[in-house]
Amino acid sequence: MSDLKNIVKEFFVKLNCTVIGDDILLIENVPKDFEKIYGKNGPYRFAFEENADGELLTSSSHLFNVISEYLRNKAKVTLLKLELEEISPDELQKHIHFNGYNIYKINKKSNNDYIYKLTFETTIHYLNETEKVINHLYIHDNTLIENFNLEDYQTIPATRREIKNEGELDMKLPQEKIKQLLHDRLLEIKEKLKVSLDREILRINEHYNNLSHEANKEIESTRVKLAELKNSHEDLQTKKVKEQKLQEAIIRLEEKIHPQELEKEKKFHLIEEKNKHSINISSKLLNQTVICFPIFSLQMVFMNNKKFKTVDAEFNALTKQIHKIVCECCSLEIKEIIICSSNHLLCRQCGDRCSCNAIQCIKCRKSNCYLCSKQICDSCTSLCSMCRKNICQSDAKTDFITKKIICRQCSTTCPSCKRLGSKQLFKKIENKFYCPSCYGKIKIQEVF
Amino acid sequence: MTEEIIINESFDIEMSNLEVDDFNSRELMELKIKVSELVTDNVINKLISYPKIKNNLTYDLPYQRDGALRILRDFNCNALLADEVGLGKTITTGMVIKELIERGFAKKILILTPPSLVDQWVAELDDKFDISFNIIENEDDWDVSDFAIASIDRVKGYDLESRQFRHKKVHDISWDLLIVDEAHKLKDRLSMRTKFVDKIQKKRFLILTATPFQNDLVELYNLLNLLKKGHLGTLQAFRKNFLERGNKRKPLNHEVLKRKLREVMVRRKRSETTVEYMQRVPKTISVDLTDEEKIIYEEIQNMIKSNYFLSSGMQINGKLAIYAILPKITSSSKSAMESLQRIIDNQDKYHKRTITHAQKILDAYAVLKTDSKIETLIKLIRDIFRQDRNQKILIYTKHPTTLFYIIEKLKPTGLSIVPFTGASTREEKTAIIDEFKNRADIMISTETGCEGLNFQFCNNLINYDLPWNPMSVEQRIGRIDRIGQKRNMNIYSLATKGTMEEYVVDLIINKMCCVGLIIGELPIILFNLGLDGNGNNGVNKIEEMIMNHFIDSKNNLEIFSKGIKEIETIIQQGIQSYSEYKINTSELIDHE
Repeated sequence: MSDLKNIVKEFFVKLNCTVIGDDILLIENVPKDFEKIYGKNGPYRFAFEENADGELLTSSSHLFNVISEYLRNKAKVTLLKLELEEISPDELQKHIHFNGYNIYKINKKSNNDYIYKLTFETTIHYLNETEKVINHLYIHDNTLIENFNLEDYQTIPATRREIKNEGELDMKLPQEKIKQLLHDRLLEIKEKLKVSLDREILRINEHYNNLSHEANKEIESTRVKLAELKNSHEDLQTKKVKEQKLQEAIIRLEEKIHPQELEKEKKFHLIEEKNKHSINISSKLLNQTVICFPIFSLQMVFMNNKKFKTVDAEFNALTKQIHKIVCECCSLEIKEIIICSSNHLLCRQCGDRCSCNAIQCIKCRKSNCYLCSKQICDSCTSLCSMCRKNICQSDAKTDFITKKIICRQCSTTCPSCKRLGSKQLFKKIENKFYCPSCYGKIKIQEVF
Repeated sequence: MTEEIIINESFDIEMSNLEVDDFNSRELMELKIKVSELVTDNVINKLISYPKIKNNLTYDLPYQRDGALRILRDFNCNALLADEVGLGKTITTGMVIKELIERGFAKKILILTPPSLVDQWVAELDDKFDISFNIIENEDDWDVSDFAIASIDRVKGYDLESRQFRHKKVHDISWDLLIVDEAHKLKDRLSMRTKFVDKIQKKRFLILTATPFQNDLVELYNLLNLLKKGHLGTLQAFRKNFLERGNKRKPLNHEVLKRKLREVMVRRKRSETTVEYMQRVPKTISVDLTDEEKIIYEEIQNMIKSNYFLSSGMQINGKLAIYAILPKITSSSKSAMESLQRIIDNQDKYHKRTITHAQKILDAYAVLKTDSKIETLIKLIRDIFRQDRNQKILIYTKHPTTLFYIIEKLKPTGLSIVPFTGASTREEKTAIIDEFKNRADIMISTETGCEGLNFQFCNNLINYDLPWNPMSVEQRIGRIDRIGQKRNMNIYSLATKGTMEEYVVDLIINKMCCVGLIIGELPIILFNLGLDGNGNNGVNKIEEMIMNHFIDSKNNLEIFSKGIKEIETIIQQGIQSYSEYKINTSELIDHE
């Protein structure tokens, strides 16, 4: 009962009427247009309990039909804005693993996203019965969403400027959904109607079968009479007259039952009966609420050991989800902050640690060591001055002559002085490579 | 065999345009949805539309509401409404229509009525139920009429050449509700009228008649077979099960037949209601003309019958032409003078001889000292008020000129008078009724002026002049002969002594409108006689018959009276046959 009272109270307050009282509501200053459709001039005195001093209102009272009709062309569109909290650095930490980085600065910019709440009133008419179903559907990005309920949120009115008209919604979606939601109830109604329709169809079929049967029987009996007449001993003249009469009667009867005409008539009445037992479903959009909520574009500056990295992200205040932090290598969304030695934001799949312990990503990773195939970071990579290939620190040697880096492959050790140098600069004596100095010494000894 | 149920779906996806629509608060939106959820009346247990219309109805008659509810709830509007005449079948049906529309069951409605009732239906549905019905005049009208009303006689026409109904479009439409008024005319199952109705696709079918059969129970069978095929079996089975051999009116298995009838019929008798019906007391008031007036009267008749020429020399004796001038000239001296002056002023149109004749009469009027008709009226009014000063009088005339003339002449009496002409809004009409009911003594109106108004608080009606169309007179009387009339009604009609007026008044008032019929019965009788609706010249058939006799009589009162007698005989036969109708119907369906 208090629901009814609240509705009445709320409605008349919205109408700018003066609403006085608690148990009994006295409504004053009723607008003329409402008085006209209610058929009664104000003030009204409504009671919600029997024997109270006022017009008793129950859920089936005419007043509610009038209110419903009055509101039919009102509240068609509602623009709302969800009241949601902005994100703080602490909140951010719940969504992103900082991996030892600190937030140095956050720049925020907000845009609106929209959810459409469509409230449909579906009326099912069959025979002289009506059923009404109210369905609320939520649509986001032209997709029906199930896990949202406006009642769970605080809202404030939104303005037209905050709503961007994003083109038409695909109404097939709600249409299909409503069909789905009605499916079970329709099956029940169909079953109920079938019982009645089958009974009526039986009546019509029986009627036309009987009509046809009666006429056929009459034709048959006339034919029997005709046959008997032929075998009778009456005089020829009388016989002829009677015979003609009977034949005429047969023609008349045949015309009367004209099978095609009867069938056509029967079909017409069967279709009519089916139409009488049809179900009419009409769904109307009662209200379209556009709910907007902010999507924050964040520009977060992370800091660690004097290294700064700016990371862009999007924070959906409704779902409380951080989006669009992506690995700069593979573009996949990430939920932690990993920054490589070259200041790239990356995911675990795109990063690795070099033997020097630095994080390297596929972007800054120059190559693998030509000799040991080990991945080598920028700072650990050396170029062999001989073969011009990348080599890791452990495979890099220094030519004692040129003092340049050479790889293990290009280097060799002088068997004489045991110093390491480039093969190319060494000279061969009996399959052994000697550094130029030792080579000279050996060759001089041979001369002398 | 199980049939598949047809499902019709409609999806109103009209999205509101954010650019132009007003935006409403969340509270209002939630309120709207809450109320929508609350208003779910699955089964029809009450008339939700009644509060909307009750202020438009003069009386709250519970049996009318109950009838509408039964038709809706128990019969899903597939029924025969056979209430006795005078109980307001139109109102009950209006309630059914309103409720079906209000609940969203009916979007296409067709009403088929006798020709004379088309306008009345339209007016009642508009005034009392705020539903606007479109009158079907030609075949194209079907395309634009969701709520259509048609004279059954007009639309049932069959084209023998194409072997199709002329208004075949009606058969292509699926109607949510079909109503046939005075449906006893569908008693002949082989008639074109019946076939026309049977071919209409309808979801709901309401048949209205106070007399579902006349002489033969087969008529009742035909009517119910039209409503519900096979409800009473085949005709052969019906004859075998329900008809006593040799007596077409006496049923066998009376109780079984009654039970079958109850399954499809709503029938209430006047005795079951609290409605009181008062008598119409006809009073012809003779107007004794002075010698001078007699001469003028005769001169006028002479002019119309033998001296009425166009400038070309062609005599104007067509019924329509006479119809146009005769009533004006006989209505009052003032309207006669106005008509004569118009002839004189139209020298191009009328022949010199006619103009001279008109001028001669006009000159005679100019020197006339007495207007016996208006004096008779004043005397009559005085007599009525002498009996009871608190009475009200409703005076009718066909012509506004006469109306204002009467007002002018009644001014010296000091009586309070309300004039009423032309169409008015409902609010204006309400104000006029209020004025007449609470302050004025007399209301003077043209019959078209106060169509649809109720003056049951007044029981004196004066026909200053009389239309020759009995239905117009019935309409006049109908304003005071309504539910709520507490006294017998005095129907005064002024008739010039020794003229054809006396015979016309006698026929229309004494033999038709005041013979003890209940309001609504005369149209049925005329309809049954085929005298309902328009004649060949576009006037009512009875009117046309009187007109023919007027022309044929050539000023001979004896010949004219014979002609009137012939009409009287036809009407009496119609009344007789209708009475039998009522008795037979009552014997079968009212017998306890």
